[in-house]
Amino acid sequence: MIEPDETRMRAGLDATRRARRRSLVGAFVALALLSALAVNGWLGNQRAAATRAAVAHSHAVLRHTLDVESAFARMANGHRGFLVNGDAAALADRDAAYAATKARLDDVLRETRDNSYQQARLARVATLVDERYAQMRAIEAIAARDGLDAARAHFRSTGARSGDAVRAALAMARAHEDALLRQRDRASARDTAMLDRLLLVGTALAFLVLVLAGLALLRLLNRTEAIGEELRRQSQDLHSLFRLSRDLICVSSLDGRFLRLNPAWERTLGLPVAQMVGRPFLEFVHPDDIAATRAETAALAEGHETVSFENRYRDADGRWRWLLWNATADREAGVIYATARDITERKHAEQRIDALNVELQGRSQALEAANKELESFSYSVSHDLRAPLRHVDGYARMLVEDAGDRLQPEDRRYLDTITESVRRMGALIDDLLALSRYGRKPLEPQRVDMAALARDSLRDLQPPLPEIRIGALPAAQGDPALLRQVWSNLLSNAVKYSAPRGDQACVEVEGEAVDGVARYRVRDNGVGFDMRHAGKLFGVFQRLHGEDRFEGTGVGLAIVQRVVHRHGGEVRADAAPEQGATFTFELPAATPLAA
Amino acid sequence: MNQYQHVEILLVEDSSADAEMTLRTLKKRGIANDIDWVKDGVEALEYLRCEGAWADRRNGLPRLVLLDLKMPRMDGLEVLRKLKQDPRTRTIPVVMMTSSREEGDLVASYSLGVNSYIVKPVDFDSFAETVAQVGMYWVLANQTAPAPTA
Repeated sequence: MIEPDETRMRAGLDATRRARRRSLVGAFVALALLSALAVNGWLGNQRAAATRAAVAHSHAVLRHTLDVESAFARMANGHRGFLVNGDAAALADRDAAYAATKARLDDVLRETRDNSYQQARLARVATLVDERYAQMRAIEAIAARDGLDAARAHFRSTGARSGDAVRAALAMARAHEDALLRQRDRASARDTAMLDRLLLVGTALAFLVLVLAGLALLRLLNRTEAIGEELRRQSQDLHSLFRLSRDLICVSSLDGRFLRLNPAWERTLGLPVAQMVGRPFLEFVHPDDIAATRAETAALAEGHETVSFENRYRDADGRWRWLLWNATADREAGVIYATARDITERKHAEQRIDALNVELQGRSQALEAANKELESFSYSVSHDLRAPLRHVDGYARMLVEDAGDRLQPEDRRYLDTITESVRRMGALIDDLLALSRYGRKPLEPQRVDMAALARDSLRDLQPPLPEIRIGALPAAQGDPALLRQVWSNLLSNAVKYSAPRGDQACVEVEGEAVDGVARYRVRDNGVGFDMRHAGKLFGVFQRLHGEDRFEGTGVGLAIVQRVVHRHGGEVRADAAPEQGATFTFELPAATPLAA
Repeated sequence: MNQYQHVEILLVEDSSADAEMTLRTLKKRGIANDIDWVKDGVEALEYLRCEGAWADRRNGLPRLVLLDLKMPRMDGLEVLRKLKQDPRTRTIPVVMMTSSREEGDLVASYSLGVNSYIVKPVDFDSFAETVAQVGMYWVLANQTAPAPTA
């Protein structure tokens, strides 16, 4: 009953462990994925920020290039203004613009320090700007020396071209920066797209893993709940069993102290469980049982089981209750689990039975002794009573033989009477011995064909016989040798007492079986008897008719009754004077033959 | 017929009445004349072994022993056992003549090797007839084994 539960619980625990491992692994994988995503995102962001900074730098470079160009244009304008109207202020503007150009150019150079191409380009621009400025100073010198017109002429031959070279060089620098910018934009776009994809896939994966881990967790929860329910149910069952059991249940330590007791203890011994817990159980055991109980406990501690051990416990009223124990020890846990049953009533009943048995044995011995006595009595009757009878008869006959001629007829009659009396006494002794033998012979019951037995017993009867009708008779369970004597005696009686009817004499035998009882009737149409004397009928030596009319010792029916009684049956008679008699006897019906 | 003639029957019987009736019958019917009578088992053994009071006996072993069952000192069963154990006497026919029809006595007698078991009838006519038949058969009709030489 416990084993399958245990197996199921163990399987449940295994499954729970697996589910827990799965959900933990899932959670860990999801965590790792998310961490990777975070690191990647952060790195991407870093990269994007760098790209953005580079883009801003490019924009700044472009803007500053334009600044250079515009300052350079102002320089040219200032120079041209001077050439138009020889204004010294314009020259000042031009010089300021030159300084600004150089300053902006320095800015750009600083900003493109890590770009050798741009550095070269810008160095060229600076050279061109310086050359241009030097030209302007030369033209200015021409103007101061040869006049404005000479200067204008010189300017027209050189000026415009020099300015174009600067602008072209700047344009090239801008174009390069533009290209850089476009390149950076593309890289930034690529990074973003990559980051997006990574985020999407990573998130999806993390989601999937989380869902799986969640499912595992759900299953784990379900299983845990189921196991919890099972445990609760089992614990409920155990608790109910413990609380409601009529048997005494206890847990005790290997050194023999009560640890837990169920309420049946209180109901049986009348002692509160709280008073018993913690105390050595030997305190409650009958002094005569202590040694055996101690030995049994030691055997338990060595790993033997206790089966059907009996001892006595004192109850609250100081009476002793017999307990029947079964127990086993859990040596690892150091405890003994035991159940006991109160068998006091049974014990008392057993004691009563034992007492009765002793008494019965005494009676049976007395009976046996009586039987033995009877046996030796009948033996001595058989031997010692018969011998003198034989002598009486023998000497009477010898007297007749030797002195026959000298005897008077009256003397002869006396001697004949002696002989007849001896014969009757011999018959009485024989019948008495038969009665004793039929009472003592051990029964050997078997299935008996009663009709065949009745017919066979007719051979004992002295002819002439009247009409004897033997019908169908049920089989009986009995001893054939004894039952044959029943038939013999009843039939010889019937024949004897119906003899006065002469040719009309008739004896009928019939029977039936009802509810396991076989009933037989022997009916005659003879002289019958008065039912007032029926009580004497089955007594030994009891006769209802004078001996001169019917021979007999009065033992036959006593034998019939003894044999029938020994079979557990009954015999009775029904008659009326001159109306015939019916003898009915019952026996156990034969057990049905096996098919 | 003198007393050195071989004895025909040894009657072992404690009851003198029974003995007288038996002897009378056997003699009257002319079955046997040389019959010796002893009154108990001890005497019977002394007789057969020619010891004690019978030490001077010279008439040999009987053709038949008629043995009563219930006797003082030593009963018939004991006598029977000793006779059948002794090579000198085991071939002598022994007929148990008793009043007892107890099954136990019958079984014991036959298992000790009795040659016949007769219940003495109470009625004298039957008794005489039975004794006569036993005598006729065992003494007149039956062939005894040759006496052992040892």
